Amino acid sequence: MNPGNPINKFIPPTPRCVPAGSLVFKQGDEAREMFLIEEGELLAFDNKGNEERELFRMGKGSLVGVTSIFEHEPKPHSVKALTEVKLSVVDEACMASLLKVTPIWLLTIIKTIISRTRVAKQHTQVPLFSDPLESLSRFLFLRYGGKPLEMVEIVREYSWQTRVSEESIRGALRSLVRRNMINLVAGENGPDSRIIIEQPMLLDLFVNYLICEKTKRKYPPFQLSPREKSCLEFLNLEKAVLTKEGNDWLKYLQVANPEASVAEIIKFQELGILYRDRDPGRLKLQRIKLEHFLLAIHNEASIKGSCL
Amino acid sequence: MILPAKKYLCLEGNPQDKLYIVKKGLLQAQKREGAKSFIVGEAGPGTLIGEMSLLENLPCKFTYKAVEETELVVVDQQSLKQTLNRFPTWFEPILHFLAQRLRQAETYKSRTDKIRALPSLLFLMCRETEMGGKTTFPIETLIENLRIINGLGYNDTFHLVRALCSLNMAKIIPGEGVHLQVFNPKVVRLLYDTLLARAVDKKRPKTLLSGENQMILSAFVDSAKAKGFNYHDSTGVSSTDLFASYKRLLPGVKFISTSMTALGEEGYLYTYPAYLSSMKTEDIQLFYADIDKVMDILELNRIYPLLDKKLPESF
Repeated sequence: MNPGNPINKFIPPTPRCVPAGSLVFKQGDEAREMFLIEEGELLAFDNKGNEERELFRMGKGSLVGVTSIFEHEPKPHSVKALTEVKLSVVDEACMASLLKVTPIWLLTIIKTIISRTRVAKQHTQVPLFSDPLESLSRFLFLRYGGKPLEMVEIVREYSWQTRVSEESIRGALRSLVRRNMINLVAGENGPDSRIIIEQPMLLDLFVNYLICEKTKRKYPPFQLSPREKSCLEFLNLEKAVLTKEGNDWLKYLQVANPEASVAEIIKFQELGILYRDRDPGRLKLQRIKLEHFLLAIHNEASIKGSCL
Repeated sequence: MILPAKKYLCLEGNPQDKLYIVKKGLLQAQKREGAKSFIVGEAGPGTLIGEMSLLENLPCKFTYKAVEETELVVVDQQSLKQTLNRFPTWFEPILHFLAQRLRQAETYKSRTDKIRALPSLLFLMCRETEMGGKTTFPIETLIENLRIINGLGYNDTFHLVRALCSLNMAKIIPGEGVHLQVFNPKVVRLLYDTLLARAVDKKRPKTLLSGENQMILSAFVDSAKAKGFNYHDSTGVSSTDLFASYKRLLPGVKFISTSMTALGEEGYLYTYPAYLSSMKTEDIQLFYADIDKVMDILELNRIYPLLDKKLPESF
């Protein structure tokens, strides 16, 4: 070994000899130490009832108990010596002295790997999404079939699909009630046991708004000027299918708002409220789009949550 | 190493065996989802890029593009080896052990995420086919809704859909707008309801039939296809024909007429005269059923066991 090598400062592992048949450690043991097999063979086992069940064997050069020292996990199984075994025991002090002289980049690799492993393990039990309100709203929108929904069934079904706890789901439902997106009424299962959705589309618009917020985009219905809004309200009064040439649309809108200009026509085209018909030069009103815009505008406080 | 702004450090999926440490500057991490690329994060000073590539030769997880001129420290295989040579021999195996554990944990998580998203995917397929009234629909809507309801990403959803296709439930139709064709929407609904009933009631749902009952229904379908007749708006077969089909499908196995109790109670298959437990097999003159319903329930019972066996293998 190079005498100038900082590695010389590290505390060496402790040698240990284990006679054949003796236990090295027991399942659940919390001692933070790992072992390097220098000679001999070890057997990993667990106990099923009174019976010992062999899991695997390890020979010279194998490392045992790495996670107990790096992740502080109790030993997942018991290990005993099959033959006389010579071990090098790396305890916390020994490992710490080694990590002290480890280059920072290598230390960061170790830390990153351990942290990513922990995250991967923990996250198998939690939902993949971050916002249950967004997920539940889309679920309810798609699940709603025109009839009241039984709260117990919905909570169970949604929890099964997403692994969100029943408590969190009930919390999210209450939040939707406060936003006037859904109502709870009495049913066979007691008070507030049925979900009524008067305007399912509002739930869908709410999800679109949340997605815009999350991705830092502006939600189009809330970006309209008062003039544009008044034009939309006027368009909604006409229930017939409307197809007009651009100039006629302008004259039409100016009936409601004399200040309406070609800018409104262009804006409504960009938003998909007006679109080019098969007839060249003519624009058709996309009524569903218009209704969605107006629904969002009329329920701005509920969607934004400012009514809470 | 200096990487000029707008230049790529590495491309997702490309082989790599080096580690990069960002010293100065900023990189953008991008991930491909279908034909599109999405920004999934940023890598500023102190960030490591490619630790698993250095230790396990894994390909680049993301595409990294320099947002501004970026200075990086490169650790290649030789530098790693030189460093590890100064350490005890048991140190290197620890690094590989930890890296392998991470790979296993992430593979397990990815597989579990997909399997757990299956109920939501079936729910969305039911919704598309039942509310939309079409058996073929754009896959983009399905992917987007699954992302919102379950959180599963684009690529993983595509894997899951492909796995369902491998069970012969649906087919991906390529083209400008990729579509999914569901072969039998009723079976998707049956599967969804069966999985939900199993999860909620914690017992075997009644839609899952015993092997014996499946064979009786298979014999019914087999004989009905060849010699079925209309019987009170359903399909009837003579007991002689059904027993002949049963014998052909299960040579040497005796027809157990008591199975008819459960099949009748569940509304899958009836007999004339109406089956009573005191009846002998030879008393049955004919069998009748809604053959579409029988075929759907048989299809469900074909697919169901494959979910546990074949689905995890597909990932």
